[in-house]
Amino acid sequence: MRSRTPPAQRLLTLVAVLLDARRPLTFADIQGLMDGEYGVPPDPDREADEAARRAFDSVRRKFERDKALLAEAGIRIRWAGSDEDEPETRGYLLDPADMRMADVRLEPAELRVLLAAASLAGGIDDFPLREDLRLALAKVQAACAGIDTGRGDDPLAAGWHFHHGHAVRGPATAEALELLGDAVVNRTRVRMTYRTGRGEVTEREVRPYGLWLRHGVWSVVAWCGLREAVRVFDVHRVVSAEAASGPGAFDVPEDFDLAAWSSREPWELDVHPPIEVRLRLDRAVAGLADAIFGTGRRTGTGPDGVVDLVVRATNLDPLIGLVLSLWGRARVLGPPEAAGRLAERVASLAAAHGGGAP
Amino acid sequence: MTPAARELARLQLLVATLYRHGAMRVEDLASRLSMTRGEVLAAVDRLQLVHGGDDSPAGYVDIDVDATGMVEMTPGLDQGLGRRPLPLTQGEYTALCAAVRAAAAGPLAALATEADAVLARLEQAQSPAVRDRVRRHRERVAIGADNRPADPVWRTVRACLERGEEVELEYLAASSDEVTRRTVRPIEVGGRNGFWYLVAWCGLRGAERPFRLDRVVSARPTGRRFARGPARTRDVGAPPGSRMATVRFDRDLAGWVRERHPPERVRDLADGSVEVRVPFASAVWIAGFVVSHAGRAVVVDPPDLRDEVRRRLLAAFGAPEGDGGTP
Repeated sequence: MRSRTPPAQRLLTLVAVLLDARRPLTFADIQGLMDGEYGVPPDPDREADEAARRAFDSVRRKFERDKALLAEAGIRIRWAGSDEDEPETRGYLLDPADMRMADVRLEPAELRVLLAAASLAGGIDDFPLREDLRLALAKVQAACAGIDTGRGDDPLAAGWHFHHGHAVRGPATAEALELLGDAVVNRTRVRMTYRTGRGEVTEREVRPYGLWLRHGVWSVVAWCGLREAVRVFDVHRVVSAEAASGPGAFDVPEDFDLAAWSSREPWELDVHPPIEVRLRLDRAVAGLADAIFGTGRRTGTGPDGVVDLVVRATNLDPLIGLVLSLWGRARVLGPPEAAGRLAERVASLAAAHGGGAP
Repeated sequence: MTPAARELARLQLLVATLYRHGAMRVEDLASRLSMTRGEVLAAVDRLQLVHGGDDSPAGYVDIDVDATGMVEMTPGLDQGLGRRPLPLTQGEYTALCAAVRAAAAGPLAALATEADAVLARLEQAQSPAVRDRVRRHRERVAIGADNRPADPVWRTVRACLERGEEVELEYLAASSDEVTRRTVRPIEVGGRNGFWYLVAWCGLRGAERPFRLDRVVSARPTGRRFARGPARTRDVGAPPGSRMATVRFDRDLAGWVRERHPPERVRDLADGSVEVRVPFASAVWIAGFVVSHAGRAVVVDPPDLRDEVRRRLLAAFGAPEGDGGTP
């Protein structure tokens, strides 16, 4: 038996053999056509001894593993026919239609979006689906009909770049990201050791629903087996992670919405019951209202150019911090609880920075 | 995806690419498939060995590299192995989706319609089984920049960048906390640390400057064109400062601080709080950084920076009751 053939070459040969056959192939047929890769077909006239049976089980398992690898690449080998069918119509089958992408027709502007988008994601260190992205782009380019996909001298492409090289890192960030990226795509469970913000180290099994990068931090939202609830984890706090053994893919709740988690502002974290904070922005920075308070609701624009906003906060302090850092260009109009918190922080900060060093 | 599955996909893609384009130079194939030259040559070797046993010695893929470095393939012998690329896998679709969504939420805000169209067309090109899978689970990975420049700002800046047109900005500079008006020549839009910047030649300062796009209050095209210089990659972020401040963070933020600062700049205090040495260029900027922690961070040193924080607080928000004013 040959065993030195690189797996990819063996897999591709298996695909070609199945495509070539134009009829379902039994395992014995495949053994005969694969040049010894899965052993030789058993002689029907001879009783198999124990060693022969073991050898057969081993090549059978190898074949099953190869089928699983092909499925990962999107190539699904099916079993055709049932026990009632004629033996020659039963066997393994590869439908060519299952392994072909149709022509993709993209307008030039759409192609630019795709290439620019890929270059953006490619500029992020440790982007967990980097290899998938590369392959996807090459596949799409090979499937693009009648259009040159070279970047050429596109002024936009030449005029911008993105590099996210300073994501917060922990001891196992790169490995954990790769594993979690696979897990959210394939809905597989992950067993991980996690250090909380307070330094408590716990082990838990999680079902990762979604993964995102924001504020230089990769986060994963997952159903947590330890807390029996949906939780958010910072990937840099993962001490170690591995694929969990056990049953197959889990289900993600139908109403799961990644954007609802990934776009949360610090003042939207669940710390206290919601407070509707009324804010007024000076004319000079009114144009920044969306950039600064994206989720805020505009309630009016004054004749002197001021903008009034209502921001819903479930974690007041970060919002107060933001108002402080605008040095008076944003005012808290109410409610008294929020205005009081601001005044209190101004007083304590002024006191802490008065006199000699603390 | 396991390495073997990924390599299989690459081999198949190489065949599909040659089907689409005919003979190609090794280098061009390598760049199109994100492979090295050596990987392409190794892949060609592998493909030559794809054949179905002794009764089909010719092999399925008739492929070779000629003396001039062209990869040639005789199509038609491979039973359709590489006539078309394989469908996108769930991971590939998720990756494209994350990238396109991030771009459409950022620099390509004006092309959001095209971004939706791209994803819809890619979905349509998949077989019905694949389409069902990807549609249910496509939005699983997201990339968000920290700041969201207003839509009109993005549109104007991007259009002027592409046309080579001067643009008038109203800009809130973090270093001076002043809103100034200036005309700039856009050179490049870039992201760094999750922030979007416009690098431009600034008429006010007479130098190339980075502008954080979420601090551009307004952008107006001027109609004046300029000749662009050759493209080169710049360091788009603000330069690090040369002065050092010591900032104390309370114990609730200690873990957070340790994750974000080099250990040699962090000192643990007995009560659980930490002191961090932070480089800065502008006192106004670092004062804003400190107060943004809403009382959980205090400047310890230098004294002039402590005064700056107090003075700015009192000027902006007035003297609180019981405060005796500047000491």
